[in-house]
Amino acid sequence: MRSTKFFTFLSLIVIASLGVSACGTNAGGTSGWPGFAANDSLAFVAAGSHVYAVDIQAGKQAWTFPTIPEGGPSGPLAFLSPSTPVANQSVTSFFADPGVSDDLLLVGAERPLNAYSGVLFGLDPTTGKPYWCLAFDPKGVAPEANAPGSTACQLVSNPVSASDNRIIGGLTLADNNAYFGLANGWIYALEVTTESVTVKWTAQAEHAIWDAPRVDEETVYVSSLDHKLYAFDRETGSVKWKQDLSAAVVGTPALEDGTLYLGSFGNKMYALDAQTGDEKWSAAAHDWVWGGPVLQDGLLYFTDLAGTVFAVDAETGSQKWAVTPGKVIRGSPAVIPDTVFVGDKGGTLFALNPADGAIRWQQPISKGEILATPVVVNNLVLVTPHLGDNLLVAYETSTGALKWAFAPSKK
Amino acid sequence: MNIWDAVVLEPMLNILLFLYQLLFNNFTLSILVFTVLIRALTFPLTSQQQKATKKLTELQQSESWKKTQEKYAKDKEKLAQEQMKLYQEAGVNPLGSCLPTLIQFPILIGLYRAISSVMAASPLQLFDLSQHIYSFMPNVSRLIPLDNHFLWLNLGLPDPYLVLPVLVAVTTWLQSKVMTPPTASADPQAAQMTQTMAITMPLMFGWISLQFPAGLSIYFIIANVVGVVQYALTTPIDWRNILNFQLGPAPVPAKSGGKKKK
Repeated sequence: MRSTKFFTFLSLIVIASLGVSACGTNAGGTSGWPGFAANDSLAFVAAGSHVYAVDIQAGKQAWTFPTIPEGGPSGPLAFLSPSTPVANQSVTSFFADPGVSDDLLLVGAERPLNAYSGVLFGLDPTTGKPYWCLAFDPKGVAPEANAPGSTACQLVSNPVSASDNRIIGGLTLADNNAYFGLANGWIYALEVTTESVTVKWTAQAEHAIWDAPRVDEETVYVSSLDHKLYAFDRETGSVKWKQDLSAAVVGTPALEDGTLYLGSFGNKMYALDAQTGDEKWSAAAHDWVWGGPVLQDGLLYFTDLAGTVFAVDAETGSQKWAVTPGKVIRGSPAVIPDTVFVGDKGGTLFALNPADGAIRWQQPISKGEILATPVVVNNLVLVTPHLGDNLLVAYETSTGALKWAFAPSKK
Repeated sequence: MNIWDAVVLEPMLNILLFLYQLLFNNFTLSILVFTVLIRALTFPLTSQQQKATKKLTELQQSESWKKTQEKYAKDKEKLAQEQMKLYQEAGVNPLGSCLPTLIQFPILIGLYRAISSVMAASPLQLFDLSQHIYSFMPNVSRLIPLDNHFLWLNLGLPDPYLVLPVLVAVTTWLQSKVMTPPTASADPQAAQMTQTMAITMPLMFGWISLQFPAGLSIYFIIANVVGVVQYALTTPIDWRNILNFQLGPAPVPAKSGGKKKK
C-alpha cells in the first residue's frame, strides 16, 4: 500500500513536472514571431534556429542559414569556431527582422541556452554564405576569437558591462552602415561591408530596443521600452534629443517632411518635430499601439491591439476613418496605393480600401496567428504565420488569391 | 480564452501587477508578498497534510499495524485489505498527505506563465501579457516594462550564474528534511523510497530552475523558506536530524518485537 501510494505520487510529480516543462520552452527561446524582410526576388524569414531565403515568384526555398552539410559541421557551420562562446551554444534563435541591401543581409539572433547573448551575422543575400559575425557577450572579448586569420565569430564587449545582449529588434541598413539596438538598451552603429564589420559608435537607452531604427541623412531615431523616443547624431551617436511619451514605444517611427510619427502603449499616436522632438499633435487609439505607422498620400495608417485600423490626417491628426476588421492586430499595416493590408491574431489577412477602410478581401491562413507585419513585393502580399503550418504565404494583392505557401523541409 | 487562463493565469498575473504597483515597482518584493499570500491561502491544506502525515506515521508505528504486517506477510492481497481496514478505523486517508502537494503544481504552472508574461523579457511574452490584463487595472501602460532587474538577474530569464538553481535545490532539500521527521518511515522499504524522494525532489526543482525565469526560482526559494517557518511555528524542529547531513530522513530501527527484513 505504502509503495503503491509512493509510486502514484512520484508518477504524478513526474507528469506534473513534464507539464510544467511543456508550458513553454526556455524563457529566451520563444522570444518572438518570425522576423521578415525582402528584396525584389527573395524573402528572408528569420524563424527559430534558421534563416530561410524563399524565391518570391516560385515560393521555393533558395537557401537556409546555417546549413548542416552531410558529414558534420564543415562548411558554413565551421565558421563558428568551437573555441568561441558562440559555438558553445550552437542553438541560435532568429526572430529579429533582417536588414537587407544589394550585397549584404544582416540577421540578428539570440542564443536560447544562454539568453544573455546576441549575435549578428552578415550573409550574402543571394547564397546565404556567411561573411562575418559579431557576438555581443557580457563576458567580454575572447582573445582567441579575434586572432588574425581567425574565422571565428568576433566578440564585441559593450562599453560597460551589460547583460541581456540579445538582438530582438530589426536592423536598418543605410549606406554601408547598420543601426540596431540590443535588449539591454545599447544602440550600435556599424560600418559593414562584405569584407569587414567595425563599430562606429554606441549609445544607450534606458531599456530594451525592440524594433529597427529610422534613419535619415543626419539622424538615427530609436524607440525604446523606456518610454522615450531618441534622436542620435548619425555620425557621432551623440543624443540630439529624447522625448518621453509616458508609455513604452516599440515600433519603428515613420518620418516625412520633418515630422516623426510613432504610437505608444499609452493608447496614443504622436506626431513630433523631427528636429526638436516637440509634440505637434497626438491622436487617441483604443489600445496599445505596437507596430510603427505608415504614411501615404498625406494619410497616416496605424493599428492597435484592440484590432482597430486607423487612418488620420498626417498634418493635423484628425481621424479619417477607423475600422475593426478582425481580432487583435500587433503588426504595422502594409500600404500600397490602392490597398492597406493588415494581419490579425486570428490568422486572417485583410485588404482594406485606403479611402474608407472597407474590406476589399480577406484570407484566413490555414493555421496560426499573423503577428508580423505583411510585406508587399511585386504584386504579392507575403505573411509569416506564427505557430502555423507554413512559414511564408503569398497572396495576389488585387484579388487575395493564394499564390503559394512555403513550409521548410522537415528532414 | 480558455478556462485555465481565466481561472488561474489571469488572476495571478493581475495580482502580481497590482502588487508591483503597490510595492514601489519592485518585482522581487511583489513575488515575495505573492508567495506569502499563496502560502497563507494554502495553509489549511498544508496543515491538513502535516496532520495526515503524523496520523499515518503513528498508525504505521502502532502494534496493530506491525502485527498485521507480520500476520499477512505472505499474502499481499489480504495484507492490503487489512491495512485498508486499519486506515478506515483510524480515520486516515493514505493519499491525504499527497493532495496538498499536488495542488501546488497548478499554482506553479500558473505562476511560471504569469512571471514569464509579466516580466516580458521578449516581444512574445509582452504580447501575451497584453492579452491578459484586466481592463479595470489602472495605469498599467505606465508600468510597462516592469523593472525586471534584481542584483545580477533578469527575472524573466534563467539565472546565468546558476546561483538560484543551487539555492532552490538546497532550500527544497531543507524543507523536505524539516517536514519529514525521521520517524515517518517505519517500513524500511518506504523509508528508502522517502530517502530517494528527498534527493530527487531538490534535484528536479533545481533542474526546473535552470531553465525557467529567475522570478520563478525566487518563488521556489521564498516558498521553501516560508514553508519551513510555517512548520516551525506549529511543530518543534529537530535540528540535530537536519544537521546530521544524511540526504534523507533516517529510517527508524524497528522496535523490539518487529521483524527485520533480510
